[in-house]
Amino acid sequence: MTTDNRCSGVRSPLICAYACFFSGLAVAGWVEAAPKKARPAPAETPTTETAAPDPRLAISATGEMSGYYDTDKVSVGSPTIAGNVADPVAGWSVGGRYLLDAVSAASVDIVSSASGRWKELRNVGQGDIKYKPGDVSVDIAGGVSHEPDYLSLSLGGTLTLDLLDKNLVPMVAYTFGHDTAGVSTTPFEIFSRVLIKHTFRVGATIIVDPATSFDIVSDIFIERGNQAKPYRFIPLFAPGAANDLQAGASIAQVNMVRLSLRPGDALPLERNRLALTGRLSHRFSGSAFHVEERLYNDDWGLKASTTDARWVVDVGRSVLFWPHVRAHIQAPVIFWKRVYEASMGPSGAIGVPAIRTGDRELGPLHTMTLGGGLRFRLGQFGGETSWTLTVQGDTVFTKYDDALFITKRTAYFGSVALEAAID
Amino acid sequence: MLVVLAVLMAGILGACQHVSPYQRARLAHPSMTEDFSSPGAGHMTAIHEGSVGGGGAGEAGCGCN
Repeated sequence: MTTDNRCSGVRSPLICAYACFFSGLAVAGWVEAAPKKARPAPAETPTTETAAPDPRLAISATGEMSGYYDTDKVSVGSPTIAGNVADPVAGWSVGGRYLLDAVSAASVDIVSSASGRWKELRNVGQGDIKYKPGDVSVDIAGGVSHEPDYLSLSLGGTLTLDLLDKNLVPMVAYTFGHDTAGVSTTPFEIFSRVLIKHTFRVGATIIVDPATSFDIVSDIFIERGNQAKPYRFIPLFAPGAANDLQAGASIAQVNMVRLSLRPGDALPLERNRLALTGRLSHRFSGSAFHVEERLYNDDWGLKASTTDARWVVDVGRSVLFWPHVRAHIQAPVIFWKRVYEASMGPSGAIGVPAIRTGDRELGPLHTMTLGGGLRFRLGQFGGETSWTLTVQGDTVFTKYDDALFITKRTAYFGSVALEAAID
Repeated sequence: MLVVLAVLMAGILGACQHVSPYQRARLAHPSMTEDFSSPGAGHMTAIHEGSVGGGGAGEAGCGCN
């Protein structure tokens, strides 16, 4: 992987900013940090004005296959291809990515709606252009995601600036998103819901000392439109009829006491969200530790804390191994109810709560993720192309504290990626 | 929020030492600079957690749940 290719990934642009800077420091191959193993590190070699620039382009291509399965009978297979072309001397790069999700689901939400197994394909295309002629870097990125019943478009830009000898790299970014949701058998012209998304991001990467960096980012999300899921129908109960329904009540138990009326999901049409993320990375003599904390709040009342940590260990000169742990806890939105009760008018008319949802991810929950990965630098096999293989997996345990049908879910995720880089 | 961010950054910067380019071998190590997540993992997280969002590229409302 070339340094420029790192900048084409999905990681924070802040990290990319200084990763790109290191393109003049870290050439292909691990840069040894331990003194006993130290080779003449390129990073410690003074550059001179007479050094001839390498006129060749840096080209990389990645293929990845990932799979997902959970105990709620949802499975997803996702092949991904990505490519990047960069001219490190001129300071530009162009990248693209294509992902296909093949989803098959017979989850409790689908079964409780008396539907059969549901299958769908999602196509995702993304591209970005980056130009960094000097201390300023501009990155324009766009994406398209398409399913038979959902179309998502986005376009955004990121501006970064190198300050204080690149010890401080502030950034600002904005992304516009336009989502259209429908139902799979009906054209958008007949039925669709539009969601407009504005995302503002401001932050900085700060070099703390020769082995430590710190990222801090604030995200503001402004969303306008209907986010309710057209396929989700809410169990509705007569007043007092569901007092005995506990969290995790089965489909049969719910069906015994629910009303025949099945109103759809209904959510507020505006949502303003705010997140603050800090990320600390420290390089020890034979490993690196990354820890991230994200605090979140929105005007639907959802508050959350997410902690994510990876300890990346050097296993020899060409292998990295990392355990991964992630913990997430959230409080419910203010309109969350395990049981929504209808109101009965004097004439017998049934009143339905105006705002209602069965989306468990809007309720109180906590998750714990345990996993890890391996990255092998396979070498060049005698040619100019260097190969890197990455294998990783996670197991995600989710506990729903106040939801019907299920109270917990275990999900398994794994991926294998092979990258070829031509320098 | 911007004020909080500015104060945080000022505090952190005050505690930082100036690091010259030739001192950055450890910061340049792949274990510090490379991406160790995957697009699939990011999408899974977005589905599982109610607070994730605002990614730079479009993500549809996959009905996995």
